[in-house]
Amino acid sequence: MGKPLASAEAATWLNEHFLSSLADIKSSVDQYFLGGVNHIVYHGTNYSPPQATWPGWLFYAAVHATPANPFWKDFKTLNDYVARCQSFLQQGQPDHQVLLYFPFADRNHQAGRDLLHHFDGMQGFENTVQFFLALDAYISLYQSLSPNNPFYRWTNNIYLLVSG
Amino acid sequence: MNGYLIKLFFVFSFFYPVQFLTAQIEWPPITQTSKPWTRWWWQGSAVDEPGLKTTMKWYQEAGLGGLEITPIYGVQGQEKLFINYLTPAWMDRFSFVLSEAKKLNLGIDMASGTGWPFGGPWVTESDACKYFTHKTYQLSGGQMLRRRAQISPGLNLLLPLPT
Repeated sequence: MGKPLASAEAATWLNEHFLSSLADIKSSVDQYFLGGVNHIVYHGTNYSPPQATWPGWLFYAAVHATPANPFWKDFKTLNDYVARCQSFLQQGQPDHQVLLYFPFADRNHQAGRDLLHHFDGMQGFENTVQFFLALDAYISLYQSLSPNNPFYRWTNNIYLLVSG
Repeated sequence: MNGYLIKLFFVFSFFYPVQFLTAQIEWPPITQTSKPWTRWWWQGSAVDEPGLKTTMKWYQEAGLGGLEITPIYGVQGQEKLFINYLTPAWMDRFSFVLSEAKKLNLGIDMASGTGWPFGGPWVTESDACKYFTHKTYQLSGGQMLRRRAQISPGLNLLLPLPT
């Protein structure tokens, strides 16, 4: 709360090993930006001794941001783009003190064998923006109503519910 | 009053069209923080100074702003190169990284432990991650399980024994 950066582990596992392109990473990163993230941390540059034979030491997560990856020679172009976007996004002021992605609870209720849900590129949270637009509409409505209006009490309850 | 000011603004804006059109938003300066960072996996923490020096320069040239060190299990066959986390030898490599990072204007961050999920010996069994598992035993009628079910070596589970 009140922090200037919203950071996210990004581009962890978009496809099988070495199959993710810089374009795949960019599309994932753009969705993080739309979701309010302004500090991207890639999930993976594995240290590999320069003399190790190709493809060097690799980590299990499949997007390998390592010098051994053929995309490395163009990696800077993507990183410069991310830096330019973030240089603006990091100047912003948050509209809300807490950002909770929806429908987080629904995802936690999905049965399955994965012990840890992954949300690469904000997958599953596409409706968060719509939720907050609706929330903003509620708040405007609440602020515009007079306490004498019978509708006031009802919106008041919703407002208290969402603002904690 | 507000309406009046807005009208006034529009009237005057016609007198200064050039000024309004040429006012460009300037790109903020690119800093270490505005660049993307990356999690820097250290397998077995088997890092040495020449390797760190070379690779950190590559990372910096690729436009990365910082590295988040996360030591994890090592590469098979390289065991003699492993360095134990937070030992004096490990701290030496870490200090070297900090001095190189300063020269290259790279930020250095660390995970709150080793491995994934992050942890270490200070996470006791009561706080550690837990999971459910199961194993099937075939029993004939009247037969009893006499020992605790063993899922994996060292992991004994209490089961409701058939009577």
